[in-house]
Amino acid sequence: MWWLLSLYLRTLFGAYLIQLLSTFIELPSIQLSSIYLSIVSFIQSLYPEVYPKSQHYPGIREKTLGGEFVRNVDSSCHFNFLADNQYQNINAFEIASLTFKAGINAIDDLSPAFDRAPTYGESLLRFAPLPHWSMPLKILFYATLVFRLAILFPLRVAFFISSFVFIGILGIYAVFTELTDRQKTLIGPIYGKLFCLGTGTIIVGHNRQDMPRKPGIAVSNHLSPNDVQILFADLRYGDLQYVVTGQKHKGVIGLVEKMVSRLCRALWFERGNTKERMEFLTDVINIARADGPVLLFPEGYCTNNTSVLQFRKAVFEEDVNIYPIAISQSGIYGDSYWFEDKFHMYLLRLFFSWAVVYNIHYLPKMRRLKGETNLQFAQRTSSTIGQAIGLPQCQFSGSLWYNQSDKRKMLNVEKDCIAQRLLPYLSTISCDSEVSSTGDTDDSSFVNVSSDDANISSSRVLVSVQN
Amino acid sequence: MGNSSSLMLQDDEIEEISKETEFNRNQIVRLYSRFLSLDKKGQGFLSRDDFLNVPELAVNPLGDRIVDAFFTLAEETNQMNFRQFVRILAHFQPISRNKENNLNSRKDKLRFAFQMYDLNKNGFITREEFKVILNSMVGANITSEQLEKIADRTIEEADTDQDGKISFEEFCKAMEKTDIEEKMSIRFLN
Repeated sequence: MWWLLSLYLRTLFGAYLIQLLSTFIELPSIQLSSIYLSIVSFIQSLYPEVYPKSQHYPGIREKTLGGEFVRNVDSSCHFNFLADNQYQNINAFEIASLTFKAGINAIDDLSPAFDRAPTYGESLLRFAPLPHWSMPLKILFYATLVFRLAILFPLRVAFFISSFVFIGILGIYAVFTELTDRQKTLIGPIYGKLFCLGTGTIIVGHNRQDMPRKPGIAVSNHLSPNDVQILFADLRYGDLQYVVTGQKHKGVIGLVEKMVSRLCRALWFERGNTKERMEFLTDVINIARADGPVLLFPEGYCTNNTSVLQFRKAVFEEDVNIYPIAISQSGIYGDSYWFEDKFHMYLLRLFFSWAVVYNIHYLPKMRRLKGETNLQFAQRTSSTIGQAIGLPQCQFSGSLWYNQSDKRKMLNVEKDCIAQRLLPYLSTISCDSEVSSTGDTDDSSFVNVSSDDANISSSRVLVSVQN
Repeated sequence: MGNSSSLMLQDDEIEEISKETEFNRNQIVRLYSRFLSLDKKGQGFLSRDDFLNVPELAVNPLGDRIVDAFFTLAEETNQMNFRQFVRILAHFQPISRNKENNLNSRKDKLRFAFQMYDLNKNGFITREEFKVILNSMVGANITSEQLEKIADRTIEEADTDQDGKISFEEFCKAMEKTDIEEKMSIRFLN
């Protein structure tokens, strides 16, 4: 029996060394990981598909106009149907019906971005076979399960611990000695690569010639708190380092953040504190104009990679180089989106996954155009990122999902919009009314219903819901 | 793990639902996948909170009414299973031209809308009931006087027998010129 255990441990150690070497001696790593992925996807393909294939995932309906809530470029909001000319003379019942329909449509709008990532086929990431599989498929499944539990899991844990030991030792070293810039640009990628081995992340880089440079800001869409390490892992040794930013965290992530700030340039801020946030913003812009690149995730929230949420516009200033980075993942091997309640549950799931496959697309530098507002520039950037990886733009910001006060604000904006539409209807009722709404023909006119009776300032409809 | 749990929907169940609602297999799988992700607690049914947690529904002025109408139609107080969920969405399929007595006939769509306004479920929309709806739609953006006028006018226009309330027949007549297909239909993906 002992020889079996010792053989197992030797195999593990061998695999650890091979993986370590193949990652740090760069050439064969790409081949090894791609061979591994094609084996996994071949095994997966033997199992029946679970979801109808189409480009719309995870939708249940066609996203048509009318009845949906729309955010304009100027950040005003309205129900799409309110701006549509064909709805000029509708009665209150009909307005209610359209609002109603908008509500039904809502079931399929923002929320799918915060589900676990969709997979069309069987991912074999389960822990028990499905009852209707045939016997050979069940046996094959158990074989893959043993591989995940006995080989993948211990290796991942070993690498994860290695990454912490590496950064821990350097962290202690950095307390006594000031690290040179050259040293720092080495630490980032090495730590990132170890961490990626620990979480099973495989990076496929595209257009590395467009990688972010100084001075400027690198902006990326956001999938998980590990995105930072992953982007670091893809840096070239001794080339440059990102200035990392992020919200202050507690627990495991907080610990990582503390170590990180010893070893590279980092800006942490408290999201809840307005004053701190403003100072943070000034810092970021200053660094971005002279130095950097600062690494930012303007969505502000992680998504499962089915759409690009609305960007926060604050950093999209004049004279700032923006380097967009588009990340897409292949959820079939393992989902990078953190949907668990606890971070350690998330890590455990990654340890048991086949891999986390990240396609990182570096996109050419962007600058704010003449006459462009921050918001327009932010939207242009986010749509560039979305186009690069084939993701639709989401009209909403993630705060609508997480933030109660944003929901209340938005609700009031919607009510304003409906009120605006109902008031002209009122004018057709009573001739003595002072309301005049005859010129209600262009798309934006519902905002400008002007009358003493309709005592609503257009500015309230143009309330910016965010920022 | 993953969305593969959609396979838990058995073939015969899919077939039954498909007969009942005219949704095809792919649509049912999509709806089921959506149902599972709405069911955050994994209870196998949806509660009011599950719906109100959907932000776009929470910000809809009629969000509460919509959720209410859902549960009234499901004839449940606070639990909705997948069959009931699909049946309700079936009302929003484009109008069926083959069968008259289906979930998505013109008349059925109108009944669905009617039920939304008939708050106390007595078969009539009263002026007071409609004012409640209007009020939740506009918040404090319209004076109560203006609101009264709108409610009065809407009821008057539809109230052909002049009893001060609107029956389902009167409602249908009032909506005669309305493009119900377009206002009460959703194009579901295949």
